[in-house]
Amino acid sequence: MTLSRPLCSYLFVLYVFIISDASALIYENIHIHGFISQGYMLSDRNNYLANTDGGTLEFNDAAINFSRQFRPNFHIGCQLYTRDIGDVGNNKIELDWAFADYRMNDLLGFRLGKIKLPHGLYNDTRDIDMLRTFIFLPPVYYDISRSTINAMNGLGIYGNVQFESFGSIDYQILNGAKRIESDSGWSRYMERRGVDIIDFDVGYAGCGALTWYPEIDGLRLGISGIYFDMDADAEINIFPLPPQYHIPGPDIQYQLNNFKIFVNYIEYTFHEIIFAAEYMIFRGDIKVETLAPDILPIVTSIPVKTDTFYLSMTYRITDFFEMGGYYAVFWPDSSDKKGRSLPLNYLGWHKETAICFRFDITDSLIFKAETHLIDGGALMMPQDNPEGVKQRTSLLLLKLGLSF
Amino acid sequence: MKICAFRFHCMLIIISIVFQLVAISCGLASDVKIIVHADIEDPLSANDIRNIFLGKKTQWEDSQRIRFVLYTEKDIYRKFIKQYVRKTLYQYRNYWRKKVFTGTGMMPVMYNKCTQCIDFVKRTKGAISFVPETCTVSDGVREISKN
Repeated sequence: MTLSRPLCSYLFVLYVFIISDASALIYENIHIHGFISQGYMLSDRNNYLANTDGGTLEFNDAAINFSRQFRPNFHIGCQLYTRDIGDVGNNKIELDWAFADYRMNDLLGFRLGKIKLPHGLYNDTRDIDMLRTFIFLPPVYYDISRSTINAMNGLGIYGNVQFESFGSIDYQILNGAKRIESDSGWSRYMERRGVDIIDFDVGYAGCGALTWYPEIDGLRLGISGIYFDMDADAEINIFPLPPQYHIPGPDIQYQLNNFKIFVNYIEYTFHEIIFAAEYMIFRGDIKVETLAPDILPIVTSIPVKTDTFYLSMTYRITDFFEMGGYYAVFWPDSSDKKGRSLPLNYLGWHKETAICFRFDITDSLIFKAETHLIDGGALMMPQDNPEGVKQRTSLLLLKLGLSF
Repeated sequence: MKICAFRFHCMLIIISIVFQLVAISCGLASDVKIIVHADIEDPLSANDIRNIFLGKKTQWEDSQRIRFVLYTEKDIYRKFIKQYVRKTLYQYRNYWRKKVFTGTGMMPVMYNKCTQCIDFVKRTKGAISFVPETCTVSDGVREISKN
């Protein structure tokens, strides 16, 4: 096996930081932080997110951010991010977030620029491996959704409201627009529904989140929602739609109208143990319209009714060692949870258990080992499994990460 | 070489059960006192102190900005965070790392000597910090009692 160039760079950076004391860098009052990680994925039966059947190192990411505080209540910053996971990312550098943050008072602050979406417990930190126990977050945060709900451009307001005997509430509201690349994870997901996205055009995008901290130590509950309208130009590809949705292509327009994602979440921290649960729903209507001039125009509507939830527990045993596990379920069509309308019924669900061990070798260097048992093929991509998706998959993940 | 992921999964379950039986407690060292700039006269509740060090309370009653600084000698740091912020040190570090990596905050100022903390509080209006009980506080810095 030969080492790829990104892997060699990663090992070099890792070596430099291990022999030095990795901590934040400060240059001309600009604070510089970053992280880099390299993972390994191995699965049996199905390929999951990449060609994992024979093991793959196509699983890495890195980020660097720059922030400067101009006044105690005003700072500006940006973060560059790159990743590779199977066919997605390919180590292209992207602007992850970049905004100005002005906090008028405790009740009200403003953000302007490209802002991470505060959706659920972990959406805004989904790329930051060091902040959690798990390597893969549950399917509520399935990787294909990253491009759609990671960040948006716009104006945000936020704040914290303290009550006498009711605890406190954090709120955040974002309004703006967003761009989705045609080679994003969302495109890969649509491929399995029979359309090959050429170009996305997202109009209005909005997001709101409310988190309540009641007068019970360690408890937080919340709700968040994302809304946007999306148009896309697409072509029919080799993965056929179910018969009732078959469109004799080749050119179609694809519209995702009134697309809404809601999540309810709860987290309870008891000393070193953290319990978390989230229930997320996706709702909307996919309108598919043929554009080819030589065929009769056809308009088809496909309702989106996706539900997913998980329960998780993590336990920090020592400064060095932490472990955790979760059980998660994903139904692409919650009106058909048993997959009765599908050619293979197990394509109607994805049920997953995961166990993870995390080792904090130093404050900056982390190693994780994780296994998953997956039942169902709802999140297995047919394009990754040309010989057909099988019902059960075991997955082993290893990841080494460094942050400063 | 092909490893059976299923067997590895079973092995991790067994190891996890073993580790669940292990309980490691850590001893907490000497007491902590909270210090503020001499101009600050606000009474502080336990909740106020928690919110200040979480970055949620950012202004004193006269609208002056709060500037807090962390003393990072591990035993004192751990004790203060546990007692006043009601988080473990690991959870507290992650809380601020999350802000740094999502752009929603800057890492707090940190010193590993109590004299540096006292000096910062002394010369910075609106400043607050914590030091070991044994550390002598100089003029220009006030030790506070919480409500």
